[in-house]
Amino acid sequence: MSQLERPWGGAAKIYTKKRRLYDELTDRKNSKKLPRLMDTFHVAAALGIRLNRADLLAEGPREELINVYTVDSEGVLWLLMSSLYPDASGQERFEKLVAHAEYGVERLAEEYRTFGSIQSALDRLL
Amino acid sequence: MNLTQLAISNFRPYYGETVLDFGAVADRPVSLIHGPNGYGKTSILLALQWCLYGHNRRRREAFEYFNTLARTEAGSLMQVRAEFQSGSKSYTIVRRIRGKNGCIETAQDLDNDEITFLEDGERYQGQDPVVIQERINELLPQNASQFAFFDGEKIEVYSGGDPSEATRDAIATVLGLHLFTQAKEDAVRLTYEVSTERQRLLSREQEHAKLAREMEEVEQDLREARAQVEQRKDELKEMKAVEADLVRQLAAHEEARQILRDLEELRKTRSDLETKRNELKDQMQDASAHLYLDILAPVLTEQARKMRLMADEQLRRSREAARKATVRELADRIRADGRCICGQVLDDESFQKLLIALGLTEQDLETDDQPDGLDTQRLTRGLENALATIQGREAFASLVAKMSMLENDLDEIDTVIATKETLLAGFDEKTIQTLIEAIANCRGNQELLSREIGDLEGRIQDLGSYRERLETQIRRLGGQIAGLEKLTEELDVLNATARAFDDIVHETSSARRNEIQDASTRYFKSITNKLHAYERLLIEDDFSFALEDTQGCRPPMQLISAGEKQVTALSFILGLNDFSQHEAPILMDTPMGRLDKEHRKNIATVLRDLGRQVILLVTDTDTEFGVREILAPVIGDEFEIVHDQATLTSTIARRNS
Repeated sequence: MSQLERPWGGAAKIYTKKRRLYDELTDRKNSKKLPRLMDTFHVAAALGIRLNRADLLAEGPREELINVYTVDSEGVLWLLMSSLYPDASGQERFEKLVAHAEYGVERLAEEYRTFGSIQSALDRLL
Repeated sequence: MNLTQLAISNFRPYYGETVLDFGAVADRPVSLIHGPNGYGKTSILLALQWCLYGHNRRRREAFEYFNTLARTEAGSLMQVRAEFQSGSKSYTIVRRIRGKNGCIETAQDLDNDEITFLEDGERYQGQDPVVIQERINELLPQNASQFAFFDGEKIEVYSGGDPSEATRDAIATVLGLHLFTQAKEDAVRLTYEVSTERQRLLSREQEHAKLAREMEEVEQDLREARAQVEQRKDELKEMKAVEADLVRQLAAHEEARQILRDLEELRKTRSDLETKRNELKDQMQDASAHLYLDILAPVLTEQARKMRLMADEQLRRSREAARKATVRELADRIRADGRCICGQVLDDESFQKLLIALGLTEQDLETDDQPDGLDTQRLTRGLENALATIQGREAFASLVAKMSMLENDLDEIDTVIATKETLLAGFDEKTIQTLIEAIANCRGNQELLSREIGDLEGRIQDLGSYRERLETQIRRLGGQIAGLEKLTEELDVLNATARAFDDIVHETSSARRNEIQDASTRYFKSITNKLHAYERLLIEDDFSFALEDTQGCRPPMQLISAGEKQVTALSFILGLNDFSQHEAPILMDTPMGRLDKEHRKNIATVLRDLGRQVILLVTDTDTEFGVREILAPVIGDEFEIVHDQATLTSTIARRNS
């Protein structure tokens, strides 16, 4: 099986230790939040990458977030992670992506609580 | 009534005028006219009948009666004149007929017959032929004359069983019943006519009643329609008052109405904004899915730049490696051959110089460069494409800004709406709406009522026209049935009259029948030579008659002899004549034809004692066997028919006793 076909090293689901934060930032009916968990994950990961920060995934219980196959339907994250970590394996890139997201969601939640909207939080963070 | 003279001119064998004068009749009532067969006896009978009753409108009969010699003579005339005497009154009847022009060759050559009637020498009532004929029939009706003037050999038809209708009528006439019968028939006919008219009027009356009922219904419909119109008009008036009141109430709410209109406008605007917000939400949902790309845009740009540099470097290195590979292959071959490709022999120094010239070192000849594993070209294209996608899409931030503005607008509108609603608090929006609807309903109802009134007025007009037509018809029928009551009374009277006449005819007929039966039996017993065999001559109600023997049996008439039938018939005729209402002479043509000596003598005796004028047309044999001797005392006039064989004409001469 080629790398293109299994870009993230065969991982099936994304697990997080911050599921509660994701839920806090996600609401389909609230225009000040993001509609889907996937969107929140994308924004959190992008924020971590942009800020070049990541939380190491500590040992302990984690909660399921989303399916991996829905994470990068357009392939942009894989391209980006490949360019950022050219020597890493698919599994390593996946773990780094999740670590970026774990950082990003923490920061996003902090700012959201302060400013009341995703966009305001992002404006603040970026 | 006696026949005193009979004058015959150009009638059958009688050419010229022949006069029979019965001057002695007052004292001696029996006259004999002798003549062999074919000399003209029956012609005398026919002449008398023609004189009295004409030729039944058949000119052909008159033509046959007209003497053949006389027919050939221009201007000739056939005429019979009969003179009668009844008490002090005398009657003269003259009937004549002549040719139209010249000779008479066919019946068509004859003109109409003429009749003259003198009563006591005076012309009778203007000589109208119809009136004269009526008068003659009063004296001796034509159908009754068959019992006065008859052929003795033909009277047996009366004894043939059931008499014909004509015979019964004739008997009734003789007995004077015909007047009652006629009166009854007239009453029945009138009853029928009046009844028909009454039925017609009853039908009209039914029609009248039907129309009257229809009129009542129309009147009722008219009353109802008018009441409905009045009711609708009242309702319409009331409805207008209600509308005016509602309009007044609505005017009081005019300010509120303006607020309502503003509210309506604001709500519409808000609805539009809501729609836009929903559209924006959809766009934001799409933008949310790509928000991470907006965040990553700087990273993607940097990485794309780096990857481009890496890809370029990778390409350059790849090309250098290829060149070196080629040169190395060439150098290896030159070193192996010890000479250049141009053929010059190369030593180590020369070879080292060549390597320098090719930009190679000894190390390059020993190592082979391998390309990186990362597909930088592909990564570069992918990242650049992602960036292009980001640039072609409206940013999430922009949509958020729009959404923020939109929600601000919505908030503002909601504030205004809330303010307006607060202002409207004193007014009831529902009431205003109800008022508007009530006014609309009110106007709709008024329109409906106006239409109904129009329809009803049209119906009233139609009913009025129909009523006028009915009135005309009822008036017309009313005029027609006015006489119905009187007609019903007339009908009752006529019915009673017809029944009365019928009773009279029946009772009179019954009484006369018994008398005639007695008289006829008396004559029969005087004439018959079988006195021991027959008890009496029976006459039924319908004037059929039979003989009853001494045992009470009635032999069928067809079984008795012709002579006996003749005797029976003669007895009946004589009995009938005893009760005849019309006094007339008896003219008998050959009365003894089939009879034996005894019967002839008995008849002669009866005729002798009859006491009325009897004219007997006889052959020589009729007067044999002592007949003439029996009659001699009463014979007044006796004639002889003289026949000229050459001219086939006859004349009559008086015979000396």
